Amino acid sequence: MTKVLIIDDSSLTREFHSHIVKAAGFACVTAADGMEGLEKATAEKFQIILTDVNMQGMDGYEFTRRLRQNPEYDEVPIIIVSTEAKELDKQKGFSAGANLYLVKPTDASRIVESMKLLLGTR
Amino acid sequence: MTLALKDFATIRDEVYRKLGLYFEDSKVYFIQKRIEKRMEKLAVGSFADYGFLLRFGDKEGKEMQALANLITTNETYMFREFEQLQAFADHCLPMILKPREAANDRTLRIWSAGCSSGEEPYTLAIILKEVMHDFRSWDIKIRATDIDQVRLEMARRAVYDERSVHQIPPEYFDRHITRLPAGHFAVKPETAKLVELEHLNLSDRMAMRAMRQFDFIFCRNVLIYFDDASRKAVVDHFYNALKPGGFIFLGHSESIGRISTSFKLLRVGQHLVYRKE
Amino acid sequence: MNIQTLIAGLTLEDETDRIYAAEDLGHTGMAEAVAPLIGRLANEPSRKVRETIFSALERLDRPEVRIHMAILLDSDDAFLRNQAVALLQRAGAAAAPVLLARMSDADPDVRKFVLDTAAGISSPEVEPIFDAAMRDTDMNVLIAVLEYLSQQRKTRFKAAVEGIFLHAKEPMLVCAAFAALLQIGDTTSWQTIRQRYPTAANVPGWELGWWIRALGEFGVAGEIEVFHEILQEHDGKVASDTIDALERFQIRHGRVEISEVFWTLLQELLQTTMPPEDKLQLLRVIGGFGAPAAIGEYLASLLGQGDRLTKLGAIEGIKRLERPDITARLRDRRSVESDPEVLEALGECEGTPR
Repeated sequence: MTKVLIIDDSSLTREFHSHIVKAAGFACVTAADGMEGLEKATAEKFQIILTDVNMQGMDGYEFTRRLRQNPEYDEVPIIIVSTEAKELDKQKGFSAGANLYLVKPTDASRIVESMKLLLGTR
Repeated sequence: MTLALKDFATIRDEVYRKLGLYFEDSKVYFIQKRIEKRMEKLAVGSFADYGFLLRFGDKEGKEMQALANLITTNETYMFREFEQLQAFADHCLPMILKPREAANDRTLRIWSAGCSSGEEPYTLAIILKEVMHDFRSWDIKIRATDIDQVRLEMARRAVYDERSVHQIPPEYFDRHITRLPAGHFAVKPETAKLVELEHLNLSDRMAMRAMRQFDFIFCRNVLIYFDDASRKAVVDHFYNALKPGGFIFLGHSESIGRISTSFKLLRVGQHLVYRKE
Repeated sequence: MNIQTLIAGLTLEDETDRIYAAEDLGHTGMAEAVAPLIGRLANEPSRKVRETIFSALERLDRPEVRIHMAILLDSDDAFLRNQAVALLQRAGAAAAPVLLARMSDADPDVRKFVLDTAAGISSPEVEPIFDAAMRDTDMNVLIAVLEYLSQQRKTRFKAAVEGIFLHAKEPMLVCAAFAALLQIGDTTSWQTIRQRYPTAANVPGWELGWWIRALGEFGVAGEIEVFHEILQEHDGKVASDTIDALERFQIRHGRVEISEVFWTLLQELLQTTMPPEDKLQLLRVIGGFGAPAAIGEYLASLLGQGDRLTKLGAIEGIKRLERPDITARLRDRRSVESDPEVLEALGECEGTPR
């Protein structure tokens, strides 16, 4: 089963996204900040990652940059899901190594479609 | 009632936030039993209410410390947290030693910070003697420091009871331990001499700056007793005390990630370790 | 140590020297240390030095620091923003004035950061920020404040949250309001919930767990059979949530009667595979019902059959039943039971001599 890692400091958002993702047939694990996300991603392999940007400790851009340094995660799709909608923020996301940048509040079907699309094209 | 995973997660997250200790889902039952003790003491009716209290009703951190005392064991014994030591011996040590050997720079420096009565540094000494081939050609120092003079004195004597030695792998035992009368055990001088014991207060900024050029720092189950700011300051000093590429080991439930995000995370075998870039 | 030397130290080549300089500046307690530390942040390449600079600024604990941190809330650099949030949170009530000032910023991202910061401060002085957030036009600010109200159990916003729950269109907003009502709501909130989701069938997918929880938390005694409907319609999928909610319901309403058909369903449910803690809890819950009378006999019969878990659950159920004739069966069981854990549970009953 495809495993998803969801990183967000809001427990409500983690719950919301977990349910969306599970309903779409994926297995999922959550983390509350970038460092915890990095630890979980390093301890086991995920096929796709959804991450928030603004979190205490390590933010989503830093998480993305560091994860990309791990050769196991060269090709794994990373989707940034953030409240910030400015062009500059999106550029940061892509520069850090994300494949897609979605703006909150997130449409459930949009998340699932994006995930399937990214997983399908390899 | 059983502790629901959701309430466990709330409490777990708060403990992680304040103490830097992270408990896997598999620890639910362990945490539950301890929380129940606190709840009884405080007459709190539900796990959700306890989580709320811990998060919003514990201004001075007293409840968090009370919980910390229940969820951490103060006991110290040799070869504690065996898997972590295995990761150190099997993976991290070679990562440091190989290039050193190739460059003909056969030095190794280890710091056991908060060594208490000495079990940890002597454990490290045993490991080094056992896994390093050509051991005698290396210049090895294990500096073991603690703030408590009484414990340091015990460490100097290097004599222990059964509880401290019961986890030493049997094949190592007789090579490094002498059995004494009345159920005591002494670390053999040949092994003990690798360890230099000294007094050091981890909060003493200037004394900490004097500690430099280490390949490994062990500071296990010590930082949980510090407050946030002090913990950060200590870890800052550890960072400076490490050579580039050096490793830092905290207690296996302690997460350095909460204290500083400047270390690099690595997986070695089944274990996660942190090192200075 | 000369402060000018320390300030110069911030630009030394060696990372360790810069860390020491920053740390020492933090210990000076001097206002002159603030600006150079802040200034260095923009150009400092080392993450560790930046972290140390923030520790130093926090140690200085001056109003100038808090003003600068508030400015950093709209920095383009996520690291700086998040460190600023953390520092202001730890400053507590002292940070309230600068936060309040920024809450009227035109940028909703800044308002959200102000709110995030305030949520980490327990002080009446930040309450106006929650009030402002509840009136905010930005969806993300609103969703965030609902989550914070929920976590902090700020019941004074109950009416406002009910209003949002009833009228919101954005799914995540409805969700946030629903979750908040579970924490800060009361029986009138249940009516609000029923207005939007009259029955379990109307509830979107996974929020059903919350609806069931709300039933347990706020439902009136007469609604006991709604649990029956839920279990009938949804099989085992919501059993766990339903059992929790039933227990909560019982705590609030005391001994309630269930219908014969509901009782039959519960017995069937017990025959299915369920997580051990759920089974234990269900047996305990069964003992909390007032009728049918057959419950007592059923629980007593479980004492002699089945595995340890079933027996332990039956014992808990019988204790809750508080019927002397059934409790007597616990005493009888002591003489034939061999499992030590079960014996211990039997021994803990009132009236049984040890």
